[in-house]
Amino acid sequence: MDIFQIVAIGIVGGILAVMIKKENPTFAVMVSLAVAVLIFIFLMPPLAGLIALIANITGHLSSGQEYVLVVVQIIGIAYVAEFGAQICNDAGEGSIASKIELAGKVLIMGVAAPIIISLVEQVVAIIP
Amino acid sequence: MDITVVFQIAAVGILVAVLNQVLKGAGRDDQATMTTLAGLIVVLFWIISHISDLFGTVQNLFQL
Repeated sequence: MDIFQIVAIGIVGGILAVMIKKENPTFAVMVSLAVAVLIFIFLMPPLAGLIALIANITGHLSSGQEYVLVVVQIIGIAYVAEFGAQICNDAGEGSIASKIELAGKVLIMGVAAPIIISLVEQVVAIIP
Repeated sequence: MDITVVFQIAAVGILVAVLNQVLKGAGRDDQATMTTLAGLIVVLFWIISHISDLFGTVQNLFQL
Protein backbone atom coordinates (compact mmCIF):
# COMPACT_ATOMS: atom_id res chain seq x y z
CA MET A 1 0.00 0.00 0.00
CA ASP A 2 2.17 2.83 -1.17
CA ILE A 3 1.97 6.54 -0.59
CA PHE A 4 0.23 7.30 -3.88
CA GLN A 5 -2.93 5.44 -2.91
CA ILE A 6 -2.99 7.08 0.52
CA VAL A 7 -2.61 10.55 -0.95
CA ALA A 8 -5.28 9.84 -3.57
CA ILE A 9 -7.71 8.67 -0.90
CA GLY A 10 -6.93 11.74 1.18
CA ILE A 11 -7.51 14.14 -1.69
CA VAL A 12 -10.74 12.45 -2.78
CA GLY A 13 -11.97 12.40 0.82
CA GLY A 14 -11.07 16.05 1.28
CA ILE A 15 -12.95 17.10 -1.83
CA LEU A 16 -16.00 15.05 -0.84
CA ALA A 17 -15.94 16.54 2.66
CA VAL A 18 -15.77 20.09 1.32
CA MET A 19 -18.56 19.35 -1.12
CA ILE A 20 -20.90 18.17 1.62
CA LYS A 21 -19.83 20.74 4.20
CA LYS A 22 -22.12 23.42 2.81
CA GLU A 23 -25.40 21.49 3.10
CA ASN A 24 -24.82 19.59 6.33
CA PRO A 25 -21.48 19.82 8.13
CA THR A 26 -22.07 16.64 10.16
CA PHE A 27 -21.63 14.49 7.08
CA ALA A 28 -18.43 16.33 6.21
CA VAL A 29 -17.01 15.27 9.56
CA MET A 30 -18.24 11.74 8.89
CA VAL A 31 -16.44 11.65 5.55
CA SER A 32 -13.20 12.94 7.05
CA LEU A 33 -13.54 10.40 9.86
CA ALA A 34 -14.01 7.59 7.35
CA VAL A 35 -10.94 8.69 5.39
CA ALA A 36 -8.92 8.89 8.60
CA VAL A 37 -9.97 5.39 9.63
CA LEU A 38 -9.21 4.09 6.14
CA ILE A 39 -5.70 5.56 6.06
CA PHE A 40 -4.97 4.36 9.58
CA ILE A 41 -6.05 0.82 8.67
CA PHE A 42 -3.82 0.93 5.59
CA LEU A 43 -0.92 1.95 7.85
CA MET A 44 -1.27 -1.11 10.07
CA PRO A 45 0.88 -3.63 8.12
CA PRO A 46 3.98 -1.41 7.78
CA LEU A 47 3.59 -0.43 11.43
CA ALA A 48 3.41 -4.07 12.46
CA GLY A 49 6.60 -4.71 10.51
CA LEU A 50 8.36 -1.85 12.27
CA ILE A 51 7.31 -3.06 15.69
CA ALA A 52 8.47 -6.57 14.87
CA LEU A 53 11.79 -5.07 13.76
CA ILE A 54 12.16 -3.17 17.04
CA ALA A 55 11.32 -6.27 19.06
CA ASN A 56 13.80 -8.30 17.03
CA ILE A 57 16.64 -5.81 17.47
CA THR A 58 16.14 -5.43 21.20
CA GLY A 59 15.85 -9.21 21.52
CA HIS A 60 19.64 -9.39 21.66
CA LEU A 61 19.84 -6.93 24.55
CA SER A 62 20.53 -8.39 27.93
CA SER A 63 18.46 -6.26 30.27
CA GLY A 64 16.13 -3.84 28.52
CA GLN A 65 13.42 -6.35 27.47
CA GLU A 66 10.32 -4.94 29.17
CA TYR A 67 11.12 -1.38 28.15
CA VAL A 68 10.38 -2.17 24.49
CA LEU A 69 6.83 -3.15 25.37
CA VAL A 70 6.39 0.17 27.18
CA VAL A 71 7.75 2.11 24.20
CA VAL A 72 5.36 0.30 21.84
CA GLN A 73 2.43 1.01 24.17
CA ILE A 74 3.38 4.68 24.34
CA ILE A 75 3.43 4.85 20.56
CA GLY A 76 0.01 3.22 20.45
CA ILE A 77 -1.50 5.61 22.97
CA ALA A 78 -0.04 8.60 21.14
CA TYR A 79 -1.30 7.20 17.84
CA VAL A 80 -4.91 6.82 18.99
CA ALA A 81 -4.99 10.05 21.03
CA GLU A 82 -3.77 12.03 18.03
CA PHE A 83 -6.40 10.34 15.86
CA GLY A 84 -9.23 11.32 18.22
CA ALA A 85 -7.91 14.82 18.81
CA GLN A 86 -7.60 15.58 15.10
CA ILE A 87 -11.13 14.33 14.40
CA CYS A 88 -12.53 16.52 17.19
CA ASN A 89 -10.57 19.49 15.84
CA ASP A 90 -12.07 18.80 12.42
CA ALA A 91 -15.52 18.86 13.92
CA GLY A 92 -14.69 22.24 15.43
CA GLU A 93 -14.61 21.00 19.03
CA GLY A 94 -11.24 22.38 20.08
CA SER A 95 -11.89 21.91 23.80
CA ILE A 96 -12.72 18.20 23.45
CA ALA A 97 -9.59 17.74 21.33
CA SER A 98 -7.39 19.30 24.01
CA LYS A 99 -9.04 17.09 26.67
CA ILE A 100 -8.25 14.01 24.58
CA GLU A 101 -4.64 15.13 24.21
CA LEU A 102 -4.43 15.74 27.95
CA ALA A 103 -5.79 12.27 28.62
CA GLY A 104 -3.25 10.83 26.19
CA LYS A 105 -0.39 12.56 27.99
CA VAL A 106 -1.58 11.38 31.39
CA LEU A 107 -1.94 7.79 30.19
CA ILE A 108 1.49 7.87 28.58
CA MET A 109 2.95 9.11 31.86
CA GLY A 110 1.15 6.28 33.60
CA VAL A 111 2.67 3.71 31.27
CA ALA A 112 6.13 5.29 31.44
CA ALA A 113 6.24 5.62 35.24
CA PRO A 114 7.92 2.24 35.93
CA ILE A 115 10.74 3.08 33.51
CA ILE A 116 11.39 6.39 35.23
CA ILE A 117 11.47 4.67 38.62
CA SER A 118 13.92 2.01 37.48
CA LEU A 119 16.08 4.68 35.81
CA VAL A 120 16.28 6.67 39.04
CA GLU A 121 17.15 3.52 40.98
CA GLN A 122 19.97 2.68 38.59
CA VAL A 123 21.33 6.23 38.80
CA VAL A 124 21.21 6.13 42.60
CA ALA A 125 22.99 2.78 42.56
CA ILE A 126 25.80 4.21 40.41
CA ILE A 127 26.39 7.23 42.64
CA PRO A 128 28.81 6.12 45.43
CA MET B 1 -12.88 -1.29 4.57
CA ASP B 2 -11.89 0.51 1.42
CA ILE B 3 -12.66 3.64 -0.50
CA THR B 4 -16.23 2.56 -1.27
CA VAL B 5 -17.17 3.28 2.35
CA VAL B 6 -16.14 6.89 1.90
CA PHE B 7 -18.19 7.12 -1.29
CA GLN B 8 -21.21 5.58 0.42
CA ILE B 9 -21.05 8.14 3.23
CA ALA B 10 -20.67 10.98 0.76
CA ALA B 11 -23.62 9.63 -1.22
CA VAL B 12 -25.81 9.49 1.89
CA GLY B 13 -24.76 13.03 2.74
CA ILE B 14 -25.68 14.35 -0.69
CA LEU B 15 -28.93 12.39 -0.72
CA VAL B 16 -29.93 13.84 2.65
CA ALA B 17 -29.05 17.32 1.46
CA VAL B 18 -31.19 16.94 -1.66
CA LEU B 19 -34.06 15.42 0.32
CA ASN B 20 -33.88 18.36 2.70
CA GLN B 21 -34.21 20.83 -0.14
CA VAL B 22 -37.16 18.92 -1.61
CA LEU B 23 -38.96 18.54 1.72
CA LYS B 24 -38.35 22.17 2.66
CA GLY B 25 -39.68 23.17 -0.75
CA ALA B 26 -42.80 21.12 -0.08
CA GLY B 27 -43.19 22.85 3.24
CA ARG B 28 -42.57 19.74 5.41
CA ASP B 29 -39.67 20.98 7.53
CA ASP B 30 -40.16 18.42 10.30
CA GLN B 31 -39.72 15.53 7.85
CA ALA B 32 -36.55 17.20 6.56
CA THR B 33 -34.97 16.99 9.98
CA MET B 34 -36.20 13.42 10.26
CA THR B 35 -34.41 12.40 7.08
CA THR B 36 -31.23 14.13 8.25
CA LEU B 37 -31.46 12.21 11.51
CA ALA B 38 -32.05 8.93 9.71
CA GLY B 39 -29.11 9.49 7.37
CA LEU B 40 -26.91 10.39 10.30
CA ILE B 41 -27.80 7.24 12.22
CA VAL B 42 -27.15 4.99 9.22
CA VAL B 43 -23.75 6.56 8.62
CA LEU B 44 -22.94 6.39 12.33
CA PHE B 45 -23.54 2.64 12.35
CA TRP B 46 -21.18 2.14 9.38
CA ILE B 47 -18.49 4.35 10.84
CA ILE B 48 -18.64 2.86 14.32
CA SER B 49 -18.18 -0.67 13.01
CA HIS B 50 -15.07 0.42 11.09
CA ILE B 51 -13.72 2.38 14.04
CA SER B 52 -14.14 -0.65 16.30
CA ASP B 53 -12.20 -2.73 13.74
CA LEU B 54 -9.43 -0.13 13.70
CA PHE B 55 -9.22 0.08 17.47
CA GLY B 56 -9.21 -3.70 17.73
CA THR B 57 -6.25 -3.92 15.37
CA VAL B 58 -4.44 -1.13 17.20
CA GLN B 59 -5.05 -2.89 20.49
CA ASN B 60 -3.56 -6.14 19.22
CA LEU B 61 -0.68 -4.44 17.48
CA PHE B 62 0.43 -2.26 20.40
CA GLN B 63 -0.54 -4.70 23.16
CA LEU B 64 -2.54 -1.96 24.88
